[in-house]
Amino acid sequence: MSDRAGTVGEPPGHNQRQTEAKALMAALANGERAALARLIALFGPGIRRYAAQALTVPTEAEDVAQEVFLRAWSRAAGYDPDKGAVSSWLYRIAVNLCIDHNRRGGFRRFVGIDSLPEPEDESPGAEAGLAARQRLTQVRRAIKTLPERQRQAILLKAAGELSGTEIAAALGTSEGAVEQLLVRARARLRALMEKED
Amino acid sequence: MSQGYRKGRGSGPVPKDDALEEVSEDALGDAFDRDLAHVFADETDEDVAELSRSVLSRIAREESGQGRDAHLAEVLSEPLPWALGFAGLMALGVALGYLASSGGTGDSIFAYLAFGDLLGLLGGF
Repeated sequence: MSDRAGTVGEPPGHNQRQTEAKALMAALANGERAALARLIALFGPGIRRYAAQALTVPTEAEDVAQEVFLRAWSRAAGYDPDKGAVSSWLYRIAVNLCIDHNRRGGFRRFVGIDSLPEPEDESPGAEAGLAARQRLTQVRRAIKTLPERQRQAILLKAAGELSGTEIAAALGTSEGAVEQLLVRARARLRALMEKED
Repeated sequence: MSQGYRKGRGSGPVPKDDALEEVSEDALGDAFDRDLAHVFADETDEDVAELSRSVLSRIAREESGQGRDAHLAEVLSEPLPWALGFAGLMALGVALGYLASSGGTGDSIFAYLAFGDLLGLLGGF
C-alpha cells in the first residue's frame, strides 16, 4: 500500500484503488488467478497488519491473510459491488476470521491442544529496533484493553487504513457509530499512553 | 505517541469556535491514526510475494484434490488431542443429559439455570 500517506479523510489514490479492486473482483469471478495476485498486492499488507494486531497470537496473521484471499477466490461470484467496497468485503472476512481464530485458539489452549503464545522476542538488537518493539508492545497492550468494537474500529482505521464508510460496511454499522467508536478508542488510548509515558 | 494530541487540558488555549474545534479534533484524530499506523507498519514488511505464492499454491492443491485429505492428516498426526477432544464432548453430552433428565422431577428451573451457566461457560471460550 504505497498510498499510506493520507491527509484528512481518505488517502490519496483511494478511489482509484477501489475502482481497480472492483474490476479485479469481476476477473476473479471468472477464475483469473492474475487478478487474485493483484488483489493480494493491493490489500494483502493491510489485512496482514490488521490480523497481526487483532489476533491473540500475532504469528497466525499470515494464515489468516491466506484464508481471507482463499475465501475471496471461492466466493468472488457472490460479491455485490452495490453493497459496499471490495476493501469492506475483504476486511469483513478478516474480522470474522480473527474472531473465530481467537475463540478457537482460546478453547484449544484451554484443553491443552495448543500451547500458550510465545512471549514477545525481547532479544537485544539495534537500539532503534528495540525501542520500536517496546513501543509496539505498549500500544498492543493498550489496544487489548479496549472494548471489542472500539478495538476493531481503530485497527481497521490504523492498520487497515480504511475510511469511515469502509469500516462501517466491514463492521455492519453506520458511519456515525464508527466515528463514535473511533473517538472513544482514541481518547482511551491517549489516556492509557499518557499514563504509561 | 500520546504527545502532541492533548487538547484543552491546561497545555494551551482551547479554540472557542465550534467549527474550528471540530476541524482540530478531526486533524488530531487523523494524526493519531497515522502515528498508530506507523507503529504497526514497523513490524511487518510490505512484501506479499510469499503470501501470494502460498495462496495460489493452496488453490492449485485444492483444485487438484490434494487438499481434501488435509483434515484427515491432521487427525492421524495428532490422534491423542483429537481423541481427548472427542472424549470431552462425550462427557459434556453425558453431563447435559443428566441435567436435562433432572428437569422431569419438578426442579426444572434449576436444571435450566445450570444449563444456562454451562452454555455461558462454553460461550466464554
